[in-house]
Amino acid sequence: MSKRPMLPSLLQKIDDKLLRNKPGVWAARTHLVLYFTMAFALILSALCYFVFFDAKQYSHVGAWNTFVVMIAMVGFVFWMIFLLRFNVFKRFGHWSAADGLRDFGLYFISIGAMVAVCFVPSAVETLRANQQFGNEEIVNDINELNINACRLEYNMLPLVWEPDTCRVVDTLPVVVYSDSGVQYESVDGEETTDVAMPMPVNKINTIDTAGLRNKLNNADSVIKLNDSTYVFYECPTYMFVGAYNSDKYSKVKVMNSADIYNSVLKNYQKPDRAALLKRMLELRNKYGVDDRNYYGNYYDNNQETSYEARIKQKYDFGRISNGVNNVVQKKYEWTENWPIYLRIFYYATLLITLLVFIFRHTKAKTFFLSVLTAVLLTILTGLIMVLSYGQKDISLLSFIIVYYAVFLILAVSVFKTNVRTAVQGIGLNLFLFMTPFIPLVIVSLYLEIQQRNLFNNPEMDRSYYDSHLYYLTAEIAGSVILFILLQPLFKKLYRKWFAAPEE
Amino acid sequence: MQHILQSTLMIKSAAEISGYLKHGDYAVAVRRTLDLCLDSGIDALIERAIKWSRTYHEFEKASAQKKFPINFIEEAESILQEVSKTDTGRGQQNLNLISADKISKKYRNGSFSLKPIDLEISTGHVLGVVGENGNGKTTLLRCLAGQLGLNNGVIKYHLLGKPDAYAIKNHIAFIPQRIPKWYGMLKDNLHFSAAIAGINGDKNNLMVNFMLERLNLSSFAHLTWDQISSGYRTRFEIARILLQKPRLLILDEPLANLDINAQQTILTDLIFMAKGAHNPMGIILSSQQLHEVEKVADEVIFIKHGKCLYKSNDSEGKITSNAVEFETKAQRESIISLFGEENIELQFNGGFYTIVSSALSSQQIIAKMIGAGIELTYLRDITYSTKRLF
Repeated sequence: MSKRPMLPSLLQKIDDKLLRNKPGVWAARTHLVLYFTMAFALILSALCYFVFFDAKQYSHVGAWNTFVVMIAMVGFVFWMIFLLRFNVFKRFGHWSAADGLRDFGLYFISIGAMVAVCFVPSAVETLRANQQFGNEEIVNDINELNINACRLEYNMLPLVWEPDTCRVVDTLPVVVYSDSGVQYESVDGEETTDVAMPMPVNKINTIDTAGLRNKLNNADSVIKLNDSTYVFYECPTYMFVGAYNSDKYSKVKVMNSADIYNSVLKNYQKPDRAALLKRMLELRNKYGVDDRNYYGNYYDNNQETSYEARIKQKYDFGRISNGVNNVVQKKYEWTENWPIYLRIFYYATLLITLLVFIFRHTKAKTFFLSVLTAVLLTILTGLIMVLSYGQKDISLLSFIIVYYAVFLILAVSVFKTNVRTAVQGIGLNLFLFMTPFIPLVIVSLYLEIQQRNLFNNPEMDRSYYDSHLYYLTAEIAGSVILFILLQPLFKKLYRKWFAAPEE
Repeated sequence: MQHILQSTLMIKSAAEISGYLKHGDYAVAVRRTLDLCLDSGIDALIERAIKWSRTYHEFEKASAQKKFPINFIEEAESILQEVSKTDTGRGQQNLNLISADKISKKYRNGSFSLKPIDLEISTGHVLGVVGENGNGKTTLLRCLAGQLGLNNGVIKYHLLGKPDAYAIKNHIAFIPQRIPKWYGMLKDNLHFSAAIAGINGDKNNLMVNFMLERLNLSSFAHLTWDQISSGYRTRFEIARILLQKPRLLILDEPLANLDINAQQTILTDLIFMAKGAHNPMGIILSSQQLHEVEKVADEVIFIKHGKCLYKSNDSEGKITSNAVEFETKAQRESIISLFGEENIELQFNGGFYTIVSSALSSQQIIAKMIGAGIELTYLRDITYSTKRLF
């Protein structure tokens, strides 16, 4: 038994046992891949843990990811070239009733480990950000920064709220542009006005019920004059620092301008300026980060004289906002985007696993011919679509389904022939490769057709439009179909095709 | 009755090996002892034989002065005594493996075609395929191995029922002339091959060690493919194939890469193992080494231009003339004058003379030349050899 470098004796023994007892499992080398990827992930995690010590800084995880992807690719090539050279199937050895599934599972785990390691820098960055800043801590700091700025600069702040009087109508006039100017028409097509000034008299704006709902949600204060007339008040801006989603996962919420006005400015009391300034300095040191922009911070250079610009410049809120945004983004990166990460992980792993599985079950020449066929069909389909008119998406999806049907026929024809041909091998390879994605293609085609019908017939039922559920079902169905067919169909087809005589 | 016969066979074989030991033919004795222990099917005996064989190989590698350990012969006798007590004998012979009925093949690209050929092979049977280069030997072997589809004819695999192509390739081992490269350590490859053939655990170790010793490859086991010569590559490939216990072994030019000693050793070993109880199998081999093949094959067929021109078993009793091939410095005229022009046909191919005669037997031809004092540097009776067909 060959001694592998950097392999503990226990794993060496396991390797030896597997070689002599479970050659199929040994040949996949999953145990070695898991060991080396885990070792690499641990080293990488430790490295990232020390490098990502300051969560307020701009994220460099993109560069780290590129680096780790390159390492993972090297690992993958090493695995393919040096470890996957033994193959029970190609040596015409004995194979069990479920070895196709077992092999696919082992490849999936091995490739999954290599793909997963690419997410380590991002995960460690999030971990570090959460260790450094609590969910409530960051919201409290944002509130403190805004309130302190208002208290320190009370004399500079506008205190009058801007009114906006609106009349609610059932239907808004339609704007029509013509050579003679702007014309307003009612819905039934009768011309109502032909004036240069579009605004209603006495500064009363006209809104419909949708506009009303929107304004009621966003206004800081509302007075209802009668059933159709409202006065909406908008508080001046007292929020100088903030970040998207900063309080989404916090029990404490970020105070908006109206909250700040009501709590601090409405009954203003003179603050202890020295203490507040000291605290502002502390917070600036805690969050302040230079802008990535080469030209420096916007507020450092601009000549704006508005109170907002002056306050932001005075208390370095540009730099502080950078830090707060960076922290918030890092803290909630995984909480917010895990479905995307999960899909990236799953599909990257699935695609590579399919390629490896096909490569291990077909002739090398047929494998590369299959890749070439796929590329040529993509180019051909693109050309046909460019040169044709009509519904591009529907055409593309229809093409894919037709190709799949052709590959299916070619693959199944393997059962009937006694000689191995490259065409059948290509068909079989592409049939397997497309199978997990076909439900997704069919669902997409269905939804596209429904959308077109809806466009032509607006009265149609829109209940089908929960497309997210459709796509999720199709994604799961594709994997389940692959899982079910792998052993009884694909493995049998490969067994028949690979062993068949040439010519 | 069979039990007694088998037991007697083991005793006879053990006695034969004792004879080799007595006369100092240790290399043969070691190989035969290993075979006998394998046939016994007793792991402990196989283990002992491996250990004993290692002692011999260590001695063989050491300097000429080094002596055998004191108990070397005693250990051998003890092993042979143990083996004699077992009742496993040689393998079951003449179990029909495959029959090819008028099989023919024509390549899509190219004008060459293999004309219809019939043949049969059973366990313990060795079929030699000879012929010039490019005349269809490899095509025939690949057809029989299930690597090439047939245009006409049928091959029946008697032990498989209705097999699919994968089962056929599991049943038959084909060693091509150019053996595909092995990757990784050679011993790992052997363990892997044994394991995929269902030999697991300690038995896997035992069988790999046995095969390494049997083919004298132990000292190369920890090397890689690139570190061994082409002759050893052939031997490793044979070891790998034998571990997978095929029922039919097809070898295409297996002697091409072997030295003159190894050619004879490998062939006789293969034949001996094919007839063993461990895994009785049939062997088909093609070679340019006519005399080596003819020496071990039960049947030889000669192929020319894709057509089977000669089958040794069919031609028995049909030979009407005798032939002797020889090399001499004597003049052609003196040879003709010795025999008389009407009694022989004398041919010279630039290297050898061949005398063909219907009137004289081979023994008479040879005796007459020696009696006349003709100096012979090489001599072979080729009356029944396919050499006459070249």
